[in-house]
Amino acid sequence: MIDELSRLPGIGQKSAQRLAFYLLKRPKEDALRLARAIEIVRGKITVCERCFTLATEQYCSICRDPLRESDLVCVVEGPQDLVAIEKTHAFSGLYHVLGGSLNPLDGIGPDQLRVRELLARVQSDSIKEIIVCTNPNLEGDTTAMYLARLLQPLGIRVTRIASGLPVGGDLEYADELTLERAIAGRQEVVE
Amino acid sequence: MLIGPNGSGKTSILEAIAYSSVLKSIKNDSKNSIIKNDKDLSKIKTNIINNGRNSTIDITLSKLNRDTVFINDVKASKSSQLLEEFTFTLFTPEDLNLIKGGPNLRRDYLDEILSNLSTYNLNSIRQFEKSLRQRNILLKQITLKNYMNYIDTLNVWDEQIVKYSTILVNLRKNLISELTPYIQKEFMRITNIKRDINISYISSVKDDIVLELADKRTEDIVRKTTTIGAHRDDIEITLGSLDSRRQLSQGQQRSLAISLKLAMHHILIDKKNKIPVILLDDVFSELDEEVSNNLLEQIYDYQAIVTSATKPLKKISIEKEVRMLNGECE
Ligand SMILES: [Zn+2]
Repeated sequence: MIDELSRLPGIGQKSAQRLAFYLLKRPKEDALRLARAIEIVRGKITVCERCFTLATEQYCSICRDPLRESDLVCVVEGPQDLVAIEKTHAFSGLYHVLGGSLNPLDGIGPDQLRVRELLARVQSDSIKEIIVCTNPNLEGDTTAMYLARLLQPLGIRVTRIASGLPVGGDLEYADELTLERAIAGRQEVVE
Repeated sequence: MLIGPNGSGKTSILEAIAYSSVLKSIKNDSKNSIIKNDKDLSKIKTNIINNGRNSTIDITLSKLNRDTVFINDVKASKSSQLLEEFTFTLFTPEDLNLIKGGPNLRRDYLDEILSNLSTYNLNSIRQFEKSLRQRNILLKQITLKNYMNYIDTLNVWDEQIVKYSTILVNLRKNLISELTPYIQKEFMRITNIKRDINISYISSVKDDIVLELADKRTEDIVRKTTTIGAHRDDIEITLGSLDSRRQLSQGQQRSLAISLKLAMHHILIDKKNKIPVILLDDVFSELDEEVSNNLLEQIYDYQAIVTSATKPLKKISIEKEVRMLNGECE
């Protein structure tokens, strides 16, 4: 159990030990309730077939919402970034979860990301603008450039969230106001 | 002044002081070799008194996790916060090769000053280094056969190299013009030689980095490394009409090297309004008595922490002398 827990992000050996002893000390029912919750949710969760965020059905609740602007798509690295942007209530389009950013050191190129899927969406969903909301670091910037070079020739407006976010930071940890301003102040990626 | 034989732990103390500013080893040792073999953690606690203001830095180095840094008991989120608290000017025997040695020594010298001057500079240097690592790793995956699959990705990494190399080269060029008078002044102080010092930036890019990087692409793919950019540049220092690398005596080269380091110390004082602590690691073993004395005179007004195998010189007054043996202070 300690080995399993220590594989979770942010949990070292010591924290894993503490969690394990906590769960063993509590009434048996408490621990089993957690186990069942994990089993139920994990069993139901899949990825949305359109935007690739986590979903409990074929399409996620955002993709199913008819009030969202379907010609505006925000590209994010992971589902956690989508959650952060949703919290700001500043964005009313759809999303596309890329699954990371270009990073040769980690062996990640366009084929390891959902770039092909984005291209397919652009061609079938009449998208007008793509906002690239990858993390404000070197790899996130490079990914934005890459998508701009790929999509601009197809007549798509490609924008990048405004700087002002802490450089090298993670989008998911940015505060809501800063993030809202970054989206509002987005600028077209230049040729 | 820390006095003791080799291996007595003198340099470890300088290492700890420097680590409190830059979070890395001055000897480029890996973290795992700094931490004792049979231990997972190592701790550094530094008290700083600056203009009557006290601050403390607590650093925990760990073999398994990232270092944690507390400044005045508040957790620091960025390593650059440490540079705001405290900086140092380090002299090592290797610095004496600054003139004679490879171009990387001179690039590192400029970049170290830039990093100390502003967080923007520091980030620009890091972004360039990261772009370069990313591009070089990418080049290792590319062959002349599979090239077409990678062309779009390589294009964007090239754009980043162009962007950050250009930024860094401009920062270095501006620094050189500000730094030259400082070097000239220091050189005159320690040698009494009054000669014009001129520094030119020797760029690996002749004219247009975009075109030249594109021209070099095939070569870069074959050699699996980036052959032009800020990481291939150098500076050329002349003294009067003499080229410092080829036409100066060893003694003059060493004096010039020390002038470069002293110039760094003074430009940081002038621009940051903060006085770096001087760390002298075992340099006297490499210098003759006259140069040693001149160097000590120049740093006499500043706080300096000096290591030496023997008590070297008669002329200077030492505030506190610590003898070290086998990692213990006597
Ligand atoms: Zn969806």
